[in-house]
Amino acid sequence: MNSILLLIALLPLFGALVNGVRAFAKPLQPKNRAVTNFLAIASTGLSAVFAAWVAISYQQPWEHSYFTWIPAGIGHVTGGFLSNFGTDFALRIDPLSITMMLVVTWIGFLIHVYATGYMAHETGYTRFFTYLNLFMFMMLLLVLGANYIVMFVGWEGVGLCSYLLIGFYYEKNFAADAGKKAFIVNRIGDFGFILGIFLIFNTFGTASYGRVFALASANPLHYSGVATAICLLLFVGACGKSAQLPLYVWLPDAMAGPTPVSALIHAATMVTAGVYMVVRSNVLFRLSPVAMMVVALVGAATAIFAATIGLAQNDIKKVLAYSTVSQLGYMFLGAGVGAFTAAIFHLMTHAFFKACLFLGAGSVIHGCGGEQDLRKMGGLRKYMPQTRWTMLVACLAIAGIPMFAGFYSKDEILSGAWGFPKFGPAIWFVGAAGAGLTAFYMFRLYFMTFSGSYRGARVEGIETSEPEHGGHSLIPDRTHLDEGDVDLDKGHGHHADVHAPHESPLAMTGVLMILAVLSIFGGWIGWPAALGGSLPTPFQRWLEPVLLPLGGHEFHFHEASIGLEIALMATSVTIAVIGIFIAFRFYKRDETFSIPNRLATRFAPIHGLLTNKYYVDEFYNATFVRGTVVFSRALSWFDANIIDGLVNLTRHVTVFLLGYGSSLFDQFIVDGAVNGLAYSAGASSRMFRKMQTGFVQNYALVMGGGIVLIAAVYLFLKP
Amino acid sequence: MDIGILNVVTYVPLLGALWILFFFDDPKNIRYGATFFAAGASIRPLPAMRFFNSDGRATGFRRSA
Amino acid sequence: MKYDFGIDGIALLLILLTTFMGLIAIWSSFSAIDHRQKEYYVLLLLLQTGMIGTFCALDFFLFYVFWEVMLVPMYFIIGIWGGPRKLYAAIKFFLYTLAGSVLMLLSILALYFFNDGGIPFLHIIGLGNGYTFSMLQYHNIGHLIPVGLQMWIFAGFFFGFAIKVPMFPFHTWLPDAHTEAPTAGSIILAAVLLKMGTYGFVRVALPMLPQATKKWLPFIIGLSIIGIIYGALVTLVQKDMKKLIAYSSVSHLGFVMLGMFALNPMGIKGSVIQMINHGISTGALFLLVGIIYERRHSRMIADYGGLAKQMPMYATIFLIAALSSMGLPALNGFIGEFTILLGVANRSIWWAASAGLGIVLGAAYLLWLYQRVFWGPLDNPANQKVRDLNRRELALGVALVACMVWIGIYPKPLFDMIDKPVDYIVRKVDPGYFDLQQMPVPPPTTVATVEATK
Repeated sequence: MNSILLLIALLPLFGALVNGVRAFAKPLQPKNRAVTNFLAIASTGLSAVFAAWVAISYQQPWEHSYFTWIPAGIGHVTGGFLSNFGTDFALRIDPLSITMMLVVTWIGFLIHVYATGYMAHETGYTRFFTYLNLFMFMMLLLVLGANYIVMFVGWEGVGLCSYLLIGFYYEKNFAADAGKKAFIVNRIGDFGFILGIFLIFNTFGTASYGRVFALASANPLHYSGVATAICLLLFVGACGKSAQLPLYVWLPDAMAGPTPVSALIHAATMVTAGVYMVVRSNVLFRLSPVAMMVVALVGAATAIFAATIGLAQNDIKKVLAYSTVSQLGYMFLGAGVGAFTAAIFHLMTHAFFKACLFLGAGSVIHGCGGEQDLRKMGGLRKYMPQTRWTMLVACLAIAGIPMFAGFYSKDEILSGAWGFPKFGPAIWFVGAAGAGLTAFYMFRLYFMTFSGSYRGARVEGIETSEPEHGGHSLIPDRTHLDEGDVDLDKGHGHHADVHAPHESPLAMTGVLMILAVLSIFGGWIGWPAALGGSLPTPFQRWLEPVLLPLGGHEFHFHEASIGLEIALMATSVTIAVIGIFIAFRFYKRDETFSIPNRLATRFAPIHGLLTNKYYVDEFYNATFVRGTVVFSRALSWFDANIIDGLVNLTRHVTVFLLGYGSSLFDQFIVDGAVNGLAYSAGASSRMFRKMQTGFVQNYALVMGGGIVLIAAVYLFLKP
Repeated sequence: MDIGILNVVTYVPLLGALWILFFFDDPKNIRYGATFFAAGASIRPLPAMRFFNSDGRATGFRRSA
Repeated sequence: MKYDFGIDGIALLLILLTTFMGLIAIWSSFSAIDHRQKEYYVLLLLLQTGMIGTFCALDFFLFYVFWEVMLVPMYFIIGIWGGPRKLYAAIKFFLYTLAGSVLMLLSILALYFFNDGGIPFLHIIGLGNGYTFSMLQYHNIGHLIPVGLQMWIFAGFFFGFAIKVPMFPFHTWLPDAHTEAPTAGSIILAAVLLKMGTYGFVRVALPMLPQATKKWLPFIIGLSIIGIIYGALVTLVQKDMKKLIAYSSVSHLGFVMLGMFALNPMGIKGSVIQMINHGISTGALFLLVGIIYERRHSRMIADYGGLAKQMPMYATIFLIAALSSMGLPALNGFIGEFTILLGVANRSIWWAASAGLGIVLGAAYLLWLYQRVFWGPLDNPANQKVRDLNRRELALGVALVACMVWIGIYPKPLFDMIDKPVDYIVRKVDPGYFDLQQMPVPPPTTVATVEATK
């Protein structure tokens, strides 16, 4: 079992490494693409099969440590204890990690299959699958890790793969910028995350889930103080990775990557890592009502904020991106109000229908020859029936219509919100309003794409219609390229000709159909008690072991009276249906979209605000980015002129002192000594010259005096 | 660790420098000679790693004779 | 003076780094140096001896001799084969470092005299242990030195080592030295010479002057954090690739110093490991910049763009080196940074928070560099025919990448090598550190952590 678990993670890594080396080979021939496909899909597929096997044979939670990874040494734990702060490379199996593993491997596998069809005409095909496989490995590390450090490895690793895949079309500046933005904003979140991990080490002496949660669970009062700080820091990390306010700005830009990437990474898996982390740490969060409140409020705020932006976007992928941000907000809302299982449940159903939506959008884009602007679509139901029906199913699911998966998960979250002790009904209301907006903008997307007649052919000059960063609504110039040929505009100039939109190949539509089926039946394992199911629902019972007791008190699933439940459900469904109806009136009934257009002109300032995403990006750019750069320039000037200036000053001073000083020294002292010597010779000779008077009497006097002196000395000194 | 290894590791490059200075003139010889002497100093300490294995047998310093 | 040679785990790791990077430096010079080759390789080998000797020396006199020996070949390497301002850079490097070394000599002499006769004109009574330069002896008597004298001795060593690290604000010689030095000179400078300063602190200052270390602690922590953030910010706006990497070294070595002065096993271990890691990553980055410089004779970022299309192997290796430098997990940089910050956070979460900003900025400047050089359109015609790596360069790159990955995944052997020496140093500087109780084992819970039988 140990090796199987490791194999699940390592297989995609193997695929990535082999394909990675092959990617450097000269342009791939078609048969070499088959090898790439085989390696990529077989590794992911096998992983998925093994994952299913592990899930089926699961009996109880366990961990296995494979080797000592970072033996960091003995550290001090608050309270005055020693603990080994070393970290092992260890993996863990429990209901939560199994759920995540299944979602990741199976959705990943489906998207790999889809991508063979979607990317068929792209250069860099092997490089793409290398990165995709590497991503699978990192994501599996994230969800299977048995301690926060292994999770962090996967966490940053998926950030790297996201960077590489968003920037896949790296020759385009907007793609390169988007990749860089994603990584850096994520890093800001990671900064909070790692500080949280350090606090965990300082508090518990280890970062291993088993021990940390056991300690917290056994002694809740002791740890509840520091739990707030820990959880808020961890949540900062979650905001970065899962694109919540205020760190969500990278996700819409991430749409610059190929659509399968958007589906896998920025909808189904990577962005859900934050939710996983919060639910994994539920014991710690439950110790801190403050942290839970923050999570719920941020989630709710993000949910409605992003939904409002989604109303006014014209790029099909951007609508879905903001929708993802909004739905992630719902997941955090659920976790924050204590409905942890609901959050994971919604994570799962969201993976199904959002992947279906993104892949469907990809199919639409592919079929329309690279078009991404909703205003240039329309009428596609005639040309792309499978895409149309699958997307309809997914839209119904995300809108929360009963019988479809999204309804069950969203309802569980909302009813958990209602029951939340502080501001419960207010949070519920925000959630329900968001649901209405969701239904509206998703069906806006659906009607604009599939209803009416095709608007694409009529518009000339097909460059972008997006009023923003350099126009990236087209897959840049690389679709329909011949293999290995880098030159553009050969043959298929799809800009010039007007070939009709076409349905996508089976590799793509097949996956769409599977996902559509999941978008219906995938929610049935959470059939609520109010509608005849059980309390707790099967899914809740499955995840229960992860929700440890606190200080001996078991975790309680939220219970409400059946009447209240049904009333809440009915209300939210009604709001959703109203949203769909309004979308119908605006976008299907009238092909010229006269009502929304009139509203847009009437409320132009608001509409402008929404279309321009509340100018948040511009604000961040003007303040943080420019601010940092300006400050850095100032520091650089300071370094080169002041600090280095001081160093150079010492040079000048020394040279000056030594140079000038030595010339002074030379002049006055050295020369002076020489002159002085000469002077004293002259002076003493002048003095001695006085003795030569020429007078014999003087000589006789001196001689006599001398004799007397010598006799006196002789007599005096005689012993 | 005995006196040999540390002195070898330290002075083989010096030896190499002198050798090249006095005996080598052709650039190719110089380059390969330098690599040889540097490699000699690099590879020699590797066996010493066995003194510092996982149970941390070596404590503090190992002195030369 | 006795000929006292000996090493422990820390010194061994640094020697391995020196010999490995020395080999890389020599091998990388094959195509870079084309005149006066004899002198060049002789000087590199002399430098090698000087560096290894410094790590092996256990006698202070010997240590000082090797320390000074290192300066001269480096001076010549920069001064003869360097860039346009080579003389200025070489002299600056030489004199700045020498100034620090002279102060260090004073401290060495103070220790020497204190050990036996004392210093009469300062009214300091010696210990009467006989005159010796043995470093191990000083380890033993370190805590006996009166605090006032310790502070002064520490100051002397501080200047000697801090200039070499280089710590803010004594770092300005580094960008000039790096930009003007030839590639191999930069590689050795970054990989090994900078570690001399940090090695000095961990071998000399911490164990021999425990009380002074603790008194100087806030000052050094402050300088380190400033170094990390200031270094990173200044790196962000550099236009010359080598200067950019040089300033990033200031930031990285700020981490190393910060970890060391956390004065706990995690911090010091992380510090030593990061010394090795920085040597490999930054050495690799300088090597890579040297490669493109040989082809295009420009280090200015503005002259490049879109290189990934023309030189995919180079782009990949550069990316891995950059990721290692910014501390991506699964590569070596993470191991060091994480362990350092773990140790620092154990002392104060606020210090760790301040240093953590350096991590965010690190990603910013490296990714921005990478994007401007490798991504984007391949506009500049001069770049469109550049050749990718040849076999020698590829071998160098792969060797370095292999180290980065290996240390990132399985650093345990390195940790084991330094385990006991680091504990020894912690005991010297903080004797009561290990005297606490072990943390109690948590009670069993409903979640079993049983190993499956298969």
